[in-house]
Amino acid sequence: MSNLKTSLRMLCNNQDILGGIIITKDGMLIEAYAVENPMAEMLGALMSNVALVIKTSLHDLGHQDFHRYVIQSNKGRIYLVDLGKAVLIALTDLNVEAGKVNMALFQAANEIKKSGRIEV
Amino acid sequence: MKKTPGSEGEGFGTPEEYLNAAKSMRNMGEFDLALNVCDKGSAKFPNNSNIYILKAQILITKFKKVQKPDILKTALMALEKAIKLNPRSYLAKILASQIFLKGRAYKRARAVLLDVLKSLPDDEKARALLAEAEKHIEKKPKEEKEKAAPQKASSGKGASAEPGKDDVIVLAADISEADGVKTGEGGQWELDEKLVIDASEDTADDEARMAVFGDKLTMFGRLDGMQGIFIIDATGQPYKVINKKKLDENAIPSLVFNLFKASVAGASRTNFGSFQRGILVAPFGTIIIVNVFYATLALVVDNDANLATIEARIQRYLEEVSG
Repeated sequence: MSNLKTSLRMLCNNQDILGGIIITKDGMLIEAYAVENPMAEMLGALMSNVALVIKTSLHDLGHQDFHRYVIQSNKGRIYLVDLGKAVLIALTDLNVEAGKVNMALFQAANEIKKSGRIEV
Repeated sequence: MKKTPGSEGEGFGTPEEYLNAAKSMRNMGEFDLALNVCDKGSAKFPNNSNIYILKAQILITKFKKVQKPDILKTALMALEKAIKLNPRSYLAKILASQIFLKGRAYKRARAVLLDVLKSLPDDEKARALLAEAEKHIEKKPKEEKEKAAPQKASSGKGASAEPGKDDVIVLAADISEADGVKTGEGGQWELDEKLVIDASEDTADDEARMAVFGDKLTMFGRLDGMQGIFIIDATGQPYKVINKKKLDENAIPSLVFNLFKASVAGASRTNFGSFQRGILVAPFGTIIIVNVFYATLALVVDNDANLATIEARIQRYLEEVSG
């Protein structure tokens, strides 16, 4: 799991990113960084619902995976990145530079995939 | 004066025009005319699930006035068609489950609700209805359940009542006493008098609000990379659609509505406040979901579209519809 932790730590070194977690498609927490439990578990469970809605709907439209989904609320943003059999989730404040965050997430997703710890 | 379908043999040009005309007639109490508009709409757009759902809603409202159980069976048949066309339709399944509860077909209600909860596990309405169905299923004596089981297996009917199946088959015409349904003289359902079906209708106020939301959509039309624009009401039904790239008008509104519901729950339960936007980057394009309060706006754009320009236009839209 250390590779995943390292990837999450590197992601969270980005000043715009408050914390990150990796979950399985059914909401099981694989790894978390800077998000404490029970928040991490709760976030994982709720975001797996979101990922499930996206995946089932995209399947109806003839697609398997999504690239990313961003929930923007009045307090901040929750980013979801599809890793195939897992989902990377990152939390940010509201006023962040979306381009920078997307780049950091893209790099982290590639690192996680390369680590081979999650089958993608 | 509003155009009415059928009189000139021409009808409306889009499914939403049929939907909105039928809703107006229903809100005036003209149920038969509204149903007639739905039938004309579904004849012209046979693959549009939303017209069947509206027909079912109108039939439920009519049932509340005239109390004839056969009306509910017809509503169920319309919902069956809607679910066949759009297996992710939340509203069709919620309405079907309520009709099953009303008709005391509790196992069928449970099967439909479990299917809703597979995609929206936190949905409060589905959970409450499921609790109601399970309360009645548990009430049945154990022996009766055991007695009913081999009957079902031998008849091959009632398979849709089993939870965990991938597809929900409503089978309106197939409901029998094996489902726990009581029938009176002439094979009519004996309904649960206490249960009131919520047809999830919009009011005249909602209609006026939606008209404002719909009228302002044209401001997005000329943006580069725009594939389609949907304004979806609080029940998940599209009110107005501008479809430039032949997007799936059953699947996209359901995706938007279900994703909106899951995102609202996700944001509020993690103390992230109230949901404002959802931006889904998918292989076919980017879907921007905007909380317009009382409705949901969805813009489908190319993945390389300028999101900053679109965001500026969304801000202007929100200012105009709220002002």
